[in-house]
Amino acid sequence: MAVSEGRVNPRNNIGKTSDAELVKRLLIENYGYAPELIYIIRGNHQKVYARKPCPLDVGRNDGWLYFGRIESDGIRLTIEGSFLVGPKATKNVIELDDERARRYLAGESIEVNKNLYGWFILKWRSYYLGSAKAKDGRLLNYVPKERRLRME
Amino acid sequence: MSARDVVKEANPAFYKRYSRLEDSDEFWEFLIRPLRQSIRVNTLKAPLEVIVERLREEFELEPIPWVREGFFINVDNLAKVPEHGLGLIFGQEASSMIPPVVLDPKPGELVLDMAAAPGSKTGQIAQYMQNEGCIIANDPNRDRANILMANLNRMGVLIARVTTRDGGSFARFENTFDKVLLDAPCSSVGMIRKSWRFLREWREKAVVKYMNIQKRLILAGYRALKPGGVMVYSTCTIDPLENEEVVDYLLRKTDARLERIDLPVKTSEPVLEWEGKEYSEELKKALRIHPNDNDTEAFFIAKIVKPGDGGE
Repeated sequence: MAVSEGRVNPRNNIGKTSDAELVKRLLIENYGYAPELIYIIRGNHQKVYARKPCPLDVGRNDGWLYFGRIESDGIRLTIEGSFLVGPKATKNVIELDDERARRYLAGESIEVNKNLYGWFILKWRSYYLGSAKAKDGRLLNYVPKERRLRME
Repeated sequence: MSARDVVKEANPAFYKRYSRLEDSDEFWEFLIRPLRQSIRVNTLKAPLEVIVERLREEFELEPIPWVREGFFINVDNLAKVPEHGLGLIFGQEASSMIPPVVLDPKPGELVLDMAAAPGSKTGQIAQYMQNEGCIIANDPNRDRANILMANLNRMGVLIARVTTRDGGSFARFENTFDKVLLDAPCSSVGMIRKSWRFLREWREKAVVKYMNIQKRLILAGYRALKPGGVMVYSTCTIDPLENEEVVDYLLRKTDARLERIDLPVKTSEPVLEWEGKEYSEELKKALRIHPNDNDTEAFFIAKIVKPGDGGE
């Protein structure tokens, strides 16, 4: 499985359709499941944020969950986004063994089947490690530096 | 040099004041002893049993008796634990897990966390609410609010609205919230075990300053609470002026009542008389936790209820 190459850059659709509609469409295309949440796309980096509705209007407020990012060839999920999508995802999920999961969590890009290309949710046991891009036989690492596993 | 002498030398005024509160050797020893590392398992991302089973493959866990999701863990640096980076566990002091347990929020409720940063208790509240409902998580300091947002993000919280108001302004949301947590800004005596500067920098003047802030906030929080709702007042300090005095003030000013807290936690006697002032016998229902009671930070927790059925 892989996200097809050569299709329209989804970033070009930002602003032309509602943020929620675009995010949900990309999630379904990439992973086969889109959680029912409020989504917005913010800033120059096309970051996707999500949250649930609140019945009380308290005026100016913040507190969105950083869910993922619209990439030129799909949607990448943060660790948090992958925990929300992963359990019900029906495609593009790669399971890692303990050794590769540890190396990935420590910040390494890890080897994978050469035929894979595109965005994949990484699963380790019952956990989700975010999305990684499969390219040239490797899963490129997207674990933020401050969240990497310290291996002694 | 004994612990008592160490404290006396570091801050004589501190020693003089709190030796009137408790003067056992044990109290002084535990007050300066480093804290044990404790974690709260974040069930917003995976079931408790799954996370605990995986952690036990690598680490020793000792359950914290008063919190189902709380454990002491034998690791010097949480960055060595895979679950930490993934937001499946969160470093949180064992006694600081008590206020959300006492608050007992439920899915679908509307909760106000008046002084929420850095957010460990807010995340615990969201966990008990199973990410359903809404939490207004406030901290007036913008920098602290940013830390709060980062932590809530890492815990996978989807139901928080982060505000940076003065906590007192929530008084205008009269009879609105099902639950209110006021984990009040305080002189942080309990945090001495984390950082020596809390002992060095302690001043009685600051205690009085915090007491005045706490009185203003507790009245505002109580006003924002629905009839029939529950408010938890907590601090991580031992001064009666910031604890019993503040809750006694609320009891005198309003129709608030206290409820007994039934948890397997050792406590010290609440202070009913301090500096010539007597406090309500109701204060016996509050938890006063000294560092030597459970080998934790010091804490004070009161469960406050607002009379009424909260009828729609």
